[in-house]
This record gives sequence, structure tokens and C-alpha cells, in this order.
Amino acid sequence: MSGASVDAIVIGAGAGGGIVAAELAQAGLRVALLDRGRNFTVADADDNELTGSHALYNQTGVQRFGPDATEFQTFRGDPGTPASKVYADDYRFSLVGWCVGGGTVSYQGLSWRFHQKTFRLKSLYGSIPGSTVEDWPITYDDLEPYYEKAEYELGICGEASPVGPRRRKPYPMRPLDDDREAQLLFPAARRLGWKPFHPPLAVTSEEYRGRPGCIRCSYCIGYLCEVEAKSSTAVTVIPQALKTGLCTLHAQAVVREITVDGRGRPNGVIYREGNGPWNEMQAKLIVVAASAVETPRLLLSSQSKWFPTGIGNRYDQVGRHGHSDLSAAVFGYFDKVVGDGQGPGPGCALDFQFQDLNLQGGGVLYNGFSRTPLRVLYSLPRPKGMKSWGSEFKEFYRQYFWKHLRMYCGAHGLPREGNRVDLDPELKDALGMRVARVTARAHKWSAPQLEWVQGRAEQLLKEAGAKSTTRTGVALEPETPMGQHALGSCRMGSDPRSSVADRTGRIHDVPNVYVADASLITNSGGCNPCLTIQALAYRVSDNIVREWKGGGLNA
Amino acid sequence: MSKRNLEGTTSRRKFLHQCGICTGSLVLPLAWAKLAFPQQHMHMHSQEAGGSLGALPVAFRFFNPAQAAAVEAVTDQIIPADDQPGAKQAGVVHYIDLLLTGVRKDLGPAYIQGIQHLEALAHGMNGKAFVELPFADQTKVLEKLEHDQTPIAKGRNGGEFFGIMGRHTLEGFFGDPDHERSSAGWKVLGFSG
Repeated sequence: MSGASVDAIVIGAGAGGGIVAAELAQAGLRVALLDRGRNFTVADADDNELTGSHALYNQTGVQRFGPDATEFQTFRGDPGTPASKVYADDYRFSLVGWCVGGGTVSYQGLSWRFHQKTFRLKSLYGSIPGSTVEDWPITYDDLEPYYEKAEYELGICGEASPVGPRRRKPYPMRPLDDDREAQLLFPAARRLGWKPFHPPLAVTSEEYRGRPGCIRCSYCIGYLCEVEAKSSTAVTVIPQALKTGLCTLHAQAVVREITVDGRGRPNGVIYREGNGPWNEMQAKLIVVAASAVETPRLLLSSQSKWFPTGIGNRYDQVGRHGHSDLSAAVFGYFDKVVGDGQGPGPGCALDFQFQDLNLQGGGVLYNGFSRTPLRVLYSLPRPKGMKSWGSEFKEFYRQYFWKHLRMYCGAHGLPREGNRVDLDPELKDALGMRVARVTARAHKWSAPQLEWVQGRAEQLLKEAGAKSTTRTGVALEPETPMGQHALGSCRMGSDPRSSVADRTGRIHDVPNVYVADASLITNSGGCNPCLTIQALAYRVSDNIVREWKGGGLNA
Repeated sequence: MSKRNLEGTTSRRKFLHQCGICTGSLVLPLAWAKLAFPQQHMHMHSQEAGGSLGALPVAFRFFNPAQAAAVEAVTDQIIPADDQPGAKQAGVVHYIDLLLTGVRKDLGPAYIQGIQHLEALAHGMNGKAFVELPFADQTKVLEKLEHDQTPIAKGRNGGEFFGIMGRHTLEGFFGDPDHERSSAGWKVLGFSG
């Protein structure tokens, strides 16, 4: 093995890793940014539901933005039961994009700040049976400057939630102009005495730092943006990192393990690029930002005499507490056209987090997503008893394609006892690495929140003129793969016996390995998690740079 | 009802529209060809200015004539014509044929055995081949197939085979056309991309 040497290796170029690479390189560190997926460019944009979208790509089960068809995990609902092999086209696969930019390439870009009370659930509600919830080791106020930095560096448009957390500055960009759905929903919400606002989106509403404003096309969630109006890390911070000349990007580079020197200090990684040989790369510090499934998988795979069950796993915490925020939907059926085909979709939001004393947690409500024929076809509920084919179905779909509205209902999720990401005891991937085994259910605590938000969605849709509504998607303690919002599997906390990383993002008892992705999130909010991953990544970066300048990482 | 006329953003899309594949009177959508020949598509994509896939023969590549007729009749049931065209008029059977020679080669055996099973059901119920049945009787056969637990291929049962055909039909009909002929599905919805 030949060994390159850098100051910092960042593993995973997604929502968090891209930010860390930019911050460290701009502070003068020599950085290697590794991602196991491809590096897509704007030339790869393809506004076609059959060939360009993440989920339907070529009908093959291959996800457009990774992983490929050979990658799998194993999944089960409960410990002690057999896990089944699941591929990326299976709903039980915990999926994010495996590519440079990660999930931010193809996501919808909802960019909420978590409510300040989200950081203190245990203090608010006490111990919740069946949950391992703990207060975060930091407060909202600790994270606020980094939320602000993320909003400005990445480029977020929208309005602050009128019942949201304190903030010093407005969003850097005005909201997008109202499309037909927003024009219908804003007055309806106000008639109900509510306070609707334009949701924060990682989309340019006007030219921003050299990127053009959004062209309002229908191909947003699931697609790589053809004009770079979606503020993914691939078109914002990763180019910043590369511009320094101090960061090298290694796409299609798989990391097998973090190596440890003769004194038990992590000192690099073993990786390979493309189909090349396994190589060593040395570094003074390592940042793991590979997602809430792949980060624990890598830490657990990095076994040595110093770390016999994996790095950071002294108290058997790596991979525990994994969960996600939860979502459901309500569809409204109208006798008039309510959509106009403009993307991105979400244009009117309500924030019901911590607003009702009879309800713990709570969540957000917004409309979306953009209206393309197959996306709608696969999601729009049919009247009971109607076949999914034939002339009656054709008429139904023709009638309601433009005359329905979909509301997204979010809710807090909780870390649940028994949830775990670990290594499958038997199965290995094509490279001989043990695959991740996900054991997960959603905690029943979330169900009343979702149903409560669904009730609000029905009220809003009816006020807006819907003739009828249909709910989808709430089940009590469902088996859940943590889905696209997997988080919390290497959570930050003050006690090493119940967490993996400390308040700076550094792994307890390991001086130079940090986590900077969704794994770190102690518990979910009642909303999409991405901006919190990104604020944490900025905060972790700040901590690393301070430590670096103080000489603490130069051992 | 759409936005797709903004300057400076449509050149790629225009290109895709312009290089629809013409063979005789039948014009197949480019998106379908991409699914049949992903490598050639990659090649074409890399030289967008003037690349071409060449002619795509209209002849079926996977189905024999009887299989093609049966599948076409199934697509006609999934999305029948009314005052607007259905899946048969949109040539969706060609989409499925291309899928089975391209990115969904793996489903070939399921289709061959599934069609045999469909014919057996049709004969069992009416003593005729599926295509020879009146429309309403074809509907009855498919309603039976939809809930059929009989194993047919690779662990798939009749109902699952029906689900695959149904999904492929909907995709061929409502999926992105990249060419006028198959925009039948988009016209039904009033969607323009």
C-alpha cells in the first residue's frame, strides 16, 4: 500500500461532509474529501421521470444518485428477529443519495431550524417509556450562529416561522413567488386564524452568489437541478473547498476502515478509488460524515486491539438510538383546478411544533411536492373500491391530476429502545465488507402528533374548498428503516455511556475523530433535518479549526 | 399550464425533442430508446451536438406476434381509449418490448410465462385466446389474474405479473414522451413538462 498524507480526511461528501471540507480547507488545512458515489455535474441533469429521477430510474431498482443495484443492507423491526436483505429500491432500505452532494442533490431542500424545545425533550416531558431520549449537550442558542451561517453560505429562501425559534437575521433570499397552490392556501389558513408562512427552501428565488434564480420547473424533488438553483453542497460549499487548492475530491472512493497507529491513535484510512487497489491515506484527523447508516458501519468496521469492537464503541453506543422524524400526508380533492405545474412545490407552511399543551412535540405542515405524472400516479389515493386500471381509473386520474392538493405532515420522532445500526453478522458486500444491519421501529409517541397535524391539514384543505380528503401514512410503531431522514445513530451527548460524540462532535475518548452528519443529531425535530445537519457541520468545523490552531490535533 | 418556455434553459430539452427516432410511419419516443439502449444513450449524451441513435426498427425485438398482440390487448385494458387515446393507440406495447430487450431483460422469463398463464386463464374461462375475447370478457380475465396466487416464474405469482404489466403500461403511457406520438398520456392530463 502506498500512502498519501493530508491534514484531514473527510469521509462522505454530502450535506455535512461538504461543509466540513470547505471550512477546513479555507482555514488552511490540507483536506481529502472522499465519497463512495459519483460526482455528477449539471450535464447529468435529466428532467425525465423515466430516466432522470432518483426513485424510478430506468425501472431497474437502481437509484439515479446511488447506490447502485448491488448494494444492500439488512433490515428487521426488532432485535432478536431475523433480518432480510434489502436493496435500494425496497422501502425498507435506509436511503439517501450516495454521490458527491449526497441527498442534497436530489432532495426537496426544506431547510428548517429545529425549535429550541426540540433540544430539551427530556427536560420538557421526562423519561418516555420505550425511548432512550436525552437532552442535547448543546442548546439552540449554541447552534443559532451556525444555522445562520448555513443559511447564508448555502443559500436558503423563505420566511421565518412566526412561532419558530429566535433568530438574528432574516433568510438571505426572499420567498419564491406564490404559485396557484400557495395563492389558494394562504388566505384559507388566515381565515382559520392561523399564521401561514413561506417555508425555508434550499432554492434560489433570485440570483445568488453566481447561481441563477429557480426557473420553477416541475422536476425538483428526485432530480439534479438543471440550472443549479437547488442549493446542494455539490454546487455551493464543495466548489468553495476545491477553489482553495487545498482540498482534493475523491469520488467513487470507498473507505474500508479507519487505521490506528501503534499508540492507539487513529491515523488514516484504507480506501480504494474506482476499481483500483486498496490504498492507505494518512491524516492528523478524520471526520466521518457518511450518513446515519454508513457512519456507524465504518466506525464498527474499524476494529483493532485498541478498539476491539470499533472506534467510539467503548460503551456499545455506536449505531444505537437511530431514528428519524416522521411524515404522513393528506390529499384534498377539489372541483376546480388548484395546481399550475410550477415547482418546487412547497409554498405555504404552518408550524405546529410545541403549540398545543395537550400535544407533546408536534410538527410542520406544508404543501407539495411538484406535480409530475408518475409521481402523482403512484401517490394519489383512489376512492375505495376503484381499480388501479381501466376506464374508471383513467377518468379519475384525468380529473384529479390538477384538482388535488397534497399536504405533507411532519412530526417529531424519538430514539427507540432496540433501534440499532450494526454490522450484519454474516452478509458482506461485493468488496468483502460486512453490510449494515438496521433494526428499527418508529416510537408510538409520534403517532398522535402526526394525526393531530393531519387533522389540521384536513381543516385547511376543506377551508380551501376541498370536497373530500384522504389521509395516508400513519401506523402505530411501524417497522421503519429510518428512511431518507435517518439520524441519531452516533448521537452527541455529555455522557459517554449513552452517546458517541461530545458537544464538539468529537468521539468521546478519541482525540482526533469527529462525526459531522445526521448521525450526530440527538433527536429529530418535527420537520426535515437537513439544515440541522448542516449547522452542526459548521459548528463541528469551527471546533476542529480552533483545536487545530491550538495545536491539539498535531500530536 | 407550465413554465417551460423560459429562455436559456431549454436547449437540452429541445435537442431531445428534435432527435426523435423516425422509422417509416411509426415514431418511437426517445425516452423509450434510452431504456432499451442505455449505453448508446450515454454515448449520445456525451456528444449532444449532433449525436444520433440512428434508426430503430419497428419490429418487435422481444415479443413474437402472438405475445405482442396479447400484451397490446392488456395495455388497452389498463388504459382504454375513450374520447382520448389509450395505451394501445400510444404504442405502449413497444415501450414494454424495448424494456424487455434493454434495462429489464431480467423480466423476460416472467413475461413469457406470464403470457402463457394469461392465455391459459382465457382458455379456461372462455375457450379462446385472450385477444379473441370481447373487451368485457378480457376485463374479467384480468380481474381474475390481478388476484391470482398461482406461481408463474421466479417466485412471482399471476397477480404480481399483472402488477408488473400494469405498472409498465402506466409508465409507457404517462412517462416522459420526448416526442409527440407518445404524449397521448400527457394530453390526457393536460401536462406539458
